[in-house]
Amino acid sequence: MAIETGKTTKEMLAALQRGDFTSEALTRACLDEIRERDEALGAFLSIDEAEALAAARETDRKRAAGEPLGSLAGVPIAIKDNINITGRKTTCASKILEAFVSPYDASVIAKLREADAILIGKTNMDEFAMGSSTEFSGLQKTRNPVDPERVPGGSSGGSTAAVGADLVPLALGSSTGGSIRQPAAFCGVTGLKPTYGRVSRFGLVAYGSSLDQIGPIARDVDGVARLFQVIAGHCERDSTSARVATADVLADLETPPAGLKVGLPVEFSSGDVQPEIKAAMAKLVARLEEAGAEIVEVSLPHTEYAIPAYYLLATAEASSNLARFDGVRYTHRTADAANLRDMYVRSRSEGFGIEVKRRILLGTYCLSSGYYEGYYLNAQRVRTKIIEDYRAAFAKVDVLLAPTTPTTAFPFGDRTDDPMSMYLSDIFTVTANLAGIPAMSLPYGADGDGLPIGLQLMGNHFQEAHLLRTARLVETLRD
Amino acid sequence: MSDISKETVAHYAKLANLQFDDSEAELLARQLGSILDHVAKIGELDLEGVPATSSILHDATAFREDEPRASLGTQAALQNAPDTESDHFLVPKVIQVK
Repeated sequence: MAIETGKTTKEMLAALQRGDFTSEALTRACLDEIRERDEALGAFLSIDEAEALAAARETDRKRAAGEPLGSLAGVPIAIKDNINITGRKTTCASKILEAFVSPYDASVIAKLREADAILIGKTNMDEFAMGSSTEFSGLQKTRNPVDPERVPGGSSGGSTAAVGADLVPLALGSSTGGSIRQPAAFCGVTGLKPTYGRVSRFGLVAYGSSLDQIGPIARDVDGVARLFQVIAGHCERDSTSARVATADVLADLETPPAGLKVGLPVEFSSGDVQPEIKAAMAKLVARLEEAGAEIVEVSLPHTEYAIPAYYLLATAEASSNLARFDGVRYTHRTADAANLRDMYVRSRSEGFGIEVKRRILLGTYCLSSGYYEGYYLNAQRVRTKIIEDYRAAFAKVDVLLAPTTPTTAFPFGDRTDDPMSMYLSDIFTVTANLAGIPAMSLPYGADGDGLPIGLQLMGNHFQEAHLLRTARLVETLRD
Repeated sequence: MSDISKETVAHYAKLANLQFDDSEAELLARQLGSILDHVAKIGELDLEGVPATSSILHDATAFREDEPRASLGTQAALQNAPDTESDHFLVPKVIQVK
């Protein structure tokens, strides 16, 4: 019997438990799908077949022996290639790290191993997570699983494409400004950016350290909740990790929140939003009202300053974080350097792609003497204003609802020549990263070309349990 | 449009340990100018006296007991280096002897 790899995580767990199939058979089915279809899709950068099958057999053995099993026992998962797994490559889709092999596990990987999940391979991304279409991968092209002529979004485009194409039920992504929600919206899958500090960043290659957060991607809200439950929690190896207990997000997932108050930020509906996305929003708002939710208009007045503040802060942090890639410790070194400085400059200039260079340059500029206060420090002040906007909004409502993106997936090459137009595709997602709040995208219908529409829910700090319950309610209000 | 010259690009490239050929520098000068025009928008706001948020930290600085524990180990730390000798990273000669 052929195993359906498009099942949800919950269905797979139930089937494994019933003994409909083994984890080895399920893992083989996913590997077969990847072998057959990923050459065209380009979601994966590397696969570790032997290790995945060995791990699957081990969970089958434990199950047969009646030993305790983790909550994701036997379920295959794809990992974005900026997260370290011992003995496997972590390329960040960059030529500069093409040969890098991680000497240790990221904390999230250790947690996945404890949960008996099957690490099946590493996924493509924009180089060092800098981009919104995965077109800035230095290694390969990833296509949108719904329309191969369009981008999958980014930067976690490989992870969302792998889930969207039914190659795996689960994936990890990372988000600095929208890199989980935006590609999730483009590929028709569900993704969560947790509260900053909720998931350990130990073993995640840093881009914008005050913004970066690892998060789950799945076919549905239940899958996202299950993966979130595994990866969340305090980690002593990440000094920014929060000492806040993680609620059991699965316990009440199926119970819609009582007396739900949903805020609609007016700033997110003004401007250019594709009409079909506006229509999807209107439909959901009407259905939420029918379901008993109270809909309240709220204002986040500093929204228009979010993209400028975000690109100043993220690039400043990137210019500092990426200084370490200089030909000394991390694989790529230029041949025949004349001296040490020449070695640094040529190793970096050969290894980094154009978008990474552009952001390092911008970050260096806004951190430089004479510009530091006007750009970097003022961007941090804008960040404070944005946090205050959200605080005021969450005093009135439980969650905020908005589109994830202004448009559905765009064609290849549409925005690569105009950096500003690419940056603006994150216009609805960056504020949650700046404020550090949890936010998720879930599919809600499609446009006239059949391209998925993603709608976004944002919650207050550490309110993932409530956010996921609301998202689960939204899922039941789909056509 | 903000005026960013190729020379300005070269200056900041040098600070960032990067180098660009002429056509790249020209492209980056144009694009950087357009990005700076956009980010200049934050100048519209009166930010006098607004505290700066450098990080969304929920707790005070994370302290722990200063107890020795196992770390990565020298060979694991060296394994991705392009050039090493015994326990060291090797780099091109820093001091030139005439």
